[in-house]
Amino acid sequence: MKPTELKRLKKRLREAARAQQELERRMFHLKTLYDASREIGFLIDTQAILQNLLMMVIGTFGTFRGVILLADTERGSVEALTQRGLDEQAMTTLADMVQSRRFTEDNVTASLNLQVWIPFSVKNQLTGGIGLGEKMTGEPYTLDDLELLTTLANQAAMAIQNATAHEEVVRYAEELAASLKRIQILESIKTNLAKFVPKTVRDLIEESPEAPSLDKREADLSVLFADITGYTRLSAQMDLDRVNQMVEVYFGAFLDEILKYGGDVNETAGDGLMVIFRDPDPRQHATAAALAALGIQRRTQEVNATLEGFFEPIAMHVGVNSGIAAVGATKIEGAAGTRWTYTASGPTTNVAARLAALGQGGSVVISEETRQRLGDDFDVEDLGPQSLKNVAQPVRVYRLLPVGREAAVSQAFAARRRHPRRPVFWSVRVWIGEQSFEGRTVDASLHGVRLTDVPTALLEVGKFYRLDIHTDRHGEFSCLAEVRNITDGSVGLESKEPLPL
Amino acid sequence: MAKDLEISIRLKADVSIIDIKGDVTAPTGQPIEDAYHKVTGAGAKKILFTFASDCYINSGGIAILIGILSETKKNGQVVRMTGLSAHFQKIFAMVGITKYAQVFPSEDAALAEF
Repeated sequence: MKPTELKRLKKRLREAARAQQELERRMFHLKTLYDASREIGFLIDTQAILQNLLMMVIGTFGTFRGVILLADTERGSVEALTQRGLDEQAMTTLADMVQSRRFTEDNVTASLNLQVWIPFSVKNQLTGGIGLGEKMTGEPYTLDDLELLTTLANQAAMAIQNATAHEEVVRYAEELAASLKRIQILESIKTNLAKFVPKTVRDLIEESPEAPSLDKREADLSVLFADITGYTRLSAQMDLDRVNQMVEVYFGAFLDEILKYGGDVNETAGDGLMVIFRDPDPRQHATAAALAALGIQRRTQEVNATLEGFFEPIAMHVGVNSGIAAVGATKIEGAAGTRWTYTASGPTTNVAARLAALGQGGSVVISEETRQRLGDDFDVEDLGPQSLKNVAQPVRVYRLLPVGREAAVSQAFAARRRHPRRPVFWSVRVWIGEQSFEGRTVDASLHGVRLTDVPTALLEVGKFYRLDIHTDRHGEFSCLAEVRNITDGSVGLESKEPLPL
Repeated sequence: MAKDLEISIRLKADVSIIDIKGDVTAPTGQPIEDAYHKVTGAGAKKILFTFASDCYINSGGIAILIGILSETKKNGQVVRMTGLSAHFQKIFAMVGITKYAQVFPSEDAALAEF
């Protein structure tokens, strides 16, 4: 072989060796990329991602010193940091730079004596960087090296982004689980508190949970008081458990009647109950209270019969009054705390309580106001004017008689509840004989209408009158309607034909 | 399929030998560091790492070894390696490990050079 050929061959061998070495290097780098995607791509912890990536970078480029930082430069906080071969002082310097907003590539590389710094960002919110010290071989970092580092940095950013998203999902799931737990607890509290809270208050709170309107307001209502005759004597004769057992049995039966007619048990005190009945129609709540009162007396007899031999029979005395009362919360503040009660207060309530005390056991005593609202649906016994304790003027009272019509009235009451009244503003011409009078509606249901501004003195309960009704939506409408009651300048009529609601 | 890392320590004359079998990666490399700290704690000044023929070492695993070499430098220990395949010998040379830990073709050859 000629010397020139030998020289050329040796040169080619050297080139082949370099090519082989370069190929090995690229294979190794490719393997690092593969490992990075496999080992950090599925990690869900940012710190673990950075630690694994730093190890791969250090092993790939062969350096004793390396650091990866993730910082929120706007807030000046270090979000994650991992390092190999750097001392405590270097870490403190880095953290100070982030906090003092002096975190730049030049500052970092100079302060930490790094050869390269490859920045990356996560969702434009966090700034990160991979920093490496000099290579163990002493060689400089090549463009290929920087390209690989940039690719790894982008991979890390993606992995951190995924991890952050995963952390958020986990956090949301935990918050959701905690919220559900709180809801379960609140539901449990609500269920238990509901046993002690009047339905009206529950409804008000559910309507407006953040700001329930518990302020006292005047409202038209009927109040029922019921208590056990001779309770003090009974409780003195029986042990406390038996007294409680007895009260629970009777009051449980009463509650069925009260709820059936929409009453709201406002207070119980030993042997007594205070129940409020409310309805937009003042006759409706008076009827409900009267029906509930008769129901309480009927159920007393039934339970007496059932418990014969176990308990001495009891008698209830019940009073009902209707009118305006201040309904809302009463706040009692003491040094040790605040107690709220929701009740109806005022003369209407006081009179109802006195009426209950007035009656004999087994009777229902109602006021003149309640009787007027009941119309002719109930039979009553006039007990005349009575002086009631702490009531200035004598009050005319009636005993409500349990009559066979109770079932029919109850059915009519239920029918009215199914067809509730709602305010309507119709102009109505009422024909009385040959004369007609203009009036207007207060409210109406499917078969009932209440009129005002009509000469009520000329109308008679039980008689039929022709009504010409003008409605904006349905035009003219005529019907025959029976006067059912006349109260406070308004008249309630019932039409056989359905009204154009 | 990753192979579990198995580490054992032997002592021949005044050389502490750390035998390594399996895959050496960053997440699995802790036992190697533990073994190094153990022999260092026992006063080892000459350390030989022997790699089994089926050993696989990735960049993370290399970083573990670099970390150990960094400590040996500080501790004034002499480190040798053996058992590496030709591929890994090239890689170790490429990243600079061989500047700090000479690689030998056999355990006996390595022991003879301490």
